[in-house]
Amino acid sequence: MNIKKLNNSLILGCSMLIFLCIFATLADYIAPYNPYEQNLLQRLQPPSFKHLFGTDELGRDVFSRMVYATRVSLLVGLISVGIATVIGTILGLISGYYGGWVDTLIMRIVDIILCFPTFFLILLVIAFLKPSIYNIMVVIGLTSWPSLTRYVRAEVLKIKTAEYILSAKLAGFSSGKILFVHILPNVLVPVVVTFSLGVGSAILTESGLSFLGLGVQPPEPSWGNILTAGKDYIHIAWWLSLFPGAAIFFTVVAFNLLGEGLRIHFSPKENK
Amino acid sequence: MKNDTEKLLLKIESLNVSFYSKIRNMFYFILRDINIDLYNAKKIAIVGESGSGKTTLANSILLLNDERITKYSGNIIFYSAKNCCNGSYNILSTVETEKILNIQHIRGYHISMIFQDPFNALNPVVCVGEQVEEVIKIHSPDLTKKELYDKTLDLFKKVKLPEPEIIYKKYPYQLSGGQLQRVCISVALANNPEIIIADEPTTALDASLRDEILNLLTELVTKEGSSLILITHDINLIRQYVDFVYVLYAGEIVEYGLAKQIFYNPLHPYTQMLLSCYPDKSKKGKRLPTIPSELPDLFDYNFVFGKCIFVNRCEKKFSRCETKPHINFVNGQYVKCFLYEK
Amino acid sequence: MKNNFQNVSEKVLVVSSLTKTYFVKSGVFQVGLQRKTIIRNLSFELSAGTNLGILGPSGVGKSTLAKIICRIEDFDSGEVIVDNRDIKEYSRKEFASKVQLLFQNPYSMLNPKLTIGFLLKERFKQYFYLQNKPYDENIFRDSIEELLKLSKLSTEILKMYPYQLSGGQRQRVATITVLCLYPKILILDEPLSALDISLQAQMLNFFYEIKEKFNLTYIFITHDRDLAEYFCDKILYLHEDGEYEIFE
Repeated sequence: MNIKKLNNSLILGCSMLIFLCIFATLADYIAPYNPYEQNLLQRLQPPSFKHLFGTDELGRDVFSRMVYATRVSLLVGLISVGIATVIGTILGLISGYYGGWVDTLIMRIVDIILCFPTFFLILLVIAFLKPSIYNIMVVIGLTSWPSLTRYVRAEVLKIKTAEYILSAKLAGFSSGKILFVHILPNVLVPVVVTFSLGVGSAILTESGLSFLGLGVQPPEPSWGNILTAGKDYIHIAWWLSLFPGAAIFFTVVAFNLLGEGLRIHFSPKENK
Repeated sequence: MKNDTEKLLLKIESLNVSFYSKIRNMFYFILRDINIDLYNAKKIAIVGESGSGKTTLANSILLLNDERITKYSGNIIFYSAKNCCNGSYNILSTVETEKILNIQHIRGYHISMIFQDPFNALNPVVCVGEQVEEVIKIHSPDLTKKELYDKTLDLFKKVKLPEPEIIYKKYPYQLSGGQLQRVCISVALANNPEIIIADEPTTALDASLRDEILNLLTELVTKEGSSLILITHDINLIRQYVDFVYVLYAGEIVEYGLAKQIFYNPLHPYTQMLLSCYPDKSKKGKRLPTIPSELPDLFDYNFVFGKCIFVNRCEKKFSRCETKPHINFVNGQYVKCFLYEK
Repeated sequence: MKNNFQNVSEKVLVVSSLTKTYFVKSGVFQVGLQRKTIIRNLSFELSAGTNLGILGPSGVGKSTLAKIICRIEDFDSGEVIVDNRDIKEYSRKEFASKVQLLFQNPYSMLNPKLTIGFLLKERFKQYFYLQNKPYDENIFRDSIEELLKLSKLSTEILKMYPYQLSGGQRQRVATITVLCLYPKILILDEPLSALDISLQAQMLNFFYEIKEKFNLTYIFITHDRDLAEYFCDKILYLHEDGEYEIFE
């Protein structure tokens, strides 16, 4: 692929993400300290060459913790949105293609889930389950598919009357084949774009949950719970809140740029 | 043949249009050395297949090509007969401010255009009557609402739309393709332009409506005393509607002359083949003649500028065809072919 | 039925007293429904190898008739018999090798996200499945090569996507994709109106060639009298009031 054809937001978003991925995969080599190791003599040190982002209230190196937290955040973002994408796409395809009562049923479920404030719903579920990183992924995944379903359904409605689909029907192909081989590739663009935009918001949700103490549990590092710990010391140790906040901001911007870039890349009019 | 007392309206003089290709990183000449004279109250047709550059030619007259990638050279001189102007405009004037002033004045008022696809030519969220009014208003801003409304209804009556008052309030999606194209024609006629360019006005329409729309268009143009440039790919469709025919092939005009002569006595091998391709009852059961090979590659400058453009598909070619032919005048027709060289 | 079995057997398509109506919105606010008869009591027969032309002004149900014959649309009453069986009795897969339809617009006939090779192979597999034969890659390759040669296309296009092809190429590719199923009847719904004249001639010649190779019976929907008279042996002219005429 010719790099000249890619637009700026796509290039910028991708490079920001590659940067994050390097941190996540090479965390063991990049992090200068053990993220769990406490050193009470060194607590609440401001940023210096020794501790790049300073240390927290237990004397742990904030930079190392944040490098490891990148892993958690990316993992939560990707897996939860992955679950949502699979559910949302399949239900959207079925709903749009078959119509009738199946469509009505799926769309009413979508309406119900969209009616609830998602964050509240997640809180409710987590309150009953044990807060852990896996539960968070599943819960975020199970609550964020409805908007994608609507999107995919609308695309399918548009495509299913196209002549190439009629022609596939005339060739006697089964509905499953038409749905997944002929229609799915045509709705993939909105799916990919929604995916990358969704990851950003899933990371935000995870951080929010961890901030409230319902997400990733200490001592496991997460940008959210580093922030939580930091809030008590905000007037004496600004670095505890600033750096994790900046990291969340950076990641969300990266995914949004990627999503926007992909959208422009795949829409032929703006691409020119 | 051409009467000098007739007033020249539009003169296209050695026009070259080139587009920049991002992929090949070079310019390619989509139109080369185009000369067209349009006289007052005449109807001409530009006939060409897809890829011949006929739409680009239509767009060039009103500078509608994407200006970021387009280069023009040559002259398009428009001699206005209407008031408020000093003789002639060169649309391709190199003075930038002059060019922009001119073209905005010319578009819609002096020269208007009818597009291929009436379904996309109108704004879907504004009722059609208001869209026509808007066009009138731009060039005559001091009309009252009532006058505008009456003028619009008059236009609708002119294009034979049934029940103009009801059509006025309709939205584009409520009208059929034929009705929409009539609305588009009324938009084009709104300011009594001197030239109407119709770019494949019937291609997007149902085939049985084609004659009806062309009839209406040519009839109105004759009545209003305007000139018409009809652009089409179907040489047989337009034979009774126009005075002059220009045959465009791969960006060059290969033959032009009176419509009747072109149809009954085509000279250029391309025109001959094009006309013989047409199926009818007499050829039943026989295979139709076809034109072999494909359009030349416009990136190949040696071919495009050095040889006869039709040489790779021509059945009558001989050694001289490897150089560029000049335009020859034969029996009242102009033809760009060595077969008629004196 | 049994008495005239001999007579029926050579008829590849029999349409008898076919009627189709549909509802149109009417009234000031477009709320009232009005029943409109588009095809009334239509009967005709078509023997194998005959080219039938369907002519008529726009909106008389030329395309509707085509869609009824290939089961995309339902009809109200009457009978359509293809290859000695009522079309309602066929399963979707069986019907695929009886009737195929080629649409007007070559740009929307091919799935934009799939390669030409994939489209062809998929239909070819379907054909083998219908014949209860195991799929054989070699037979596929030979047949495709033959089809491509017939349509004057190079094998390179197998790796291409539809947007990389020109209008004429697309139309030919669309035609060979439906030929992969070896249908008895091929319905052509205004297949030429989107093409240039020189391409129209090429396509018509191509249709003639494949007719001989595949023993096809064409139903050719067109508005163009000259074209119909050139191509068809039998012409069905539909009038606006639901009446019809048949010329030989």
